[in-house]
Amino acid sequence: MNSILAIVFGIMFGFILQRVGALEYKNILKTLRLIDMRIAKFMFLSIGVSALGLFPLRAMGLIRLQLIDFNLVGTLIGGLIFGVGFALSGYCPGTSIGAWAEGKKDAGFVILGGIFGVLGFTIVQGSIGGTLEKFNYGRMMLGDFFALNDLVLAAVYAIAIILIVYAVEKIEVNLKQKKSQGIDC
Amino acid sequence: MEGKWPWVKAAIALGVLNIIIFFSAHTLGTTTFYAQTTGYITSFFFPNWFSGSVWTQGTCGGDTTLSVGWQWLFVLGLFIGALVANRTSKPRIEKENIPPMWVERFGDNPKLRYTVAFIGGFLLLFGARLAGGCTSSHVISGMSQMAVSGIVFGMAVFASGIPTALLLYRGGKTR
Repeated sequence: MNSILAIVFGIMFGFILQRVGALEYKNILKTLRLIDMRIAKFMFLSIGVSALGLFPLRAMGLIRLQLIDFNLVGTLIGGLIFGVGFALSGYCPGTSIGAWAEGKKDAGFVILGGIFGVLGFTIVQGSIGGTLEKFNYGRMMLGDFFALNDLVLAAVYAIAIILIVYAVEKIEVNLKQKKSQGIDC
Repeated sequence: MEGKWPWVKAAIALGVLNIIIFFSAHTLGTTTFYAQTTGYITSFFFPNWFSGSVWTQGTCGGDTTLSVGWQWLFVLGLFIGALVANRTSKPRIEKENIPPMWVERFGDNPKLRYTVAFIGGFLLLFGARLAGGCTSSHVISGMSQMAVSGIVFGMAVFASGIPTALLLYRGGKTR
């Protein structure tokens, strides 16, 4: 049952990613080049929507959080390396699978590179793993820093994210209007 | 079936899907799939190189042994879902091996694009394993839980991704 659910959820995820255009190199690069923030707006709005739902459900005891450890060095350096790979490939680990399914050959090379990337990490893991573990702060979330009820904090957090997305959208619409009116900006 | 969805509609769909997944006590994520797949391939050719537990250590899947687990099947589903969405798109999507935006900037030499794609993929997964997750698990799933790891990862990705993309296309056509 759980296996079937995994596949069904995956199908829904892949379908959404394709429909929003996240499987396209040009949309990722347009976001990273700050030309068209469509994919960033999509990602961050979904985060806001999720947060608004997750925390009330958690307060009702229906779900539990599934946090990933925060490692000051690992998370930060890993993210920075990931970002360079993101810009070079135009895909992320998930979207390269979906783009490959669509028949995009370059996405296949991203996946192949990814397999070697895991191998590369596993090879160095033995020698850096111990040092890295010193920077592990465990499962941390914003609620650990604020003397606020998690529900209130989540609402503030989610609304802040949604407002930022809305502001980005407004700015983009304004810029487009100015461009179409022929005003230099 | 229609073609492209507006981003608001897609974001709400993904937000709801992300919440539903929590009811199964699993999380959205794809790094574990790569870890498991690489583990299987490597141990097929070199059975004694690494022990089975190193592959998925520290991933969002949380498995301690090498197995085709929940996350692997989730990514299998992702593949199927993207395929179905592609085939049901109207008008039909033209297959492209090299993105037109890339061709405009760097030419249509497939070797160059595939090499950069390979290097990009290597960095993506090296970084994701180091950070313990990727865009799905750290950003979509992690940030929606207000996870510090997700917020730091998300900021780091854009902090290096934006300058890299701008440098790549510096001096090129804007669109």
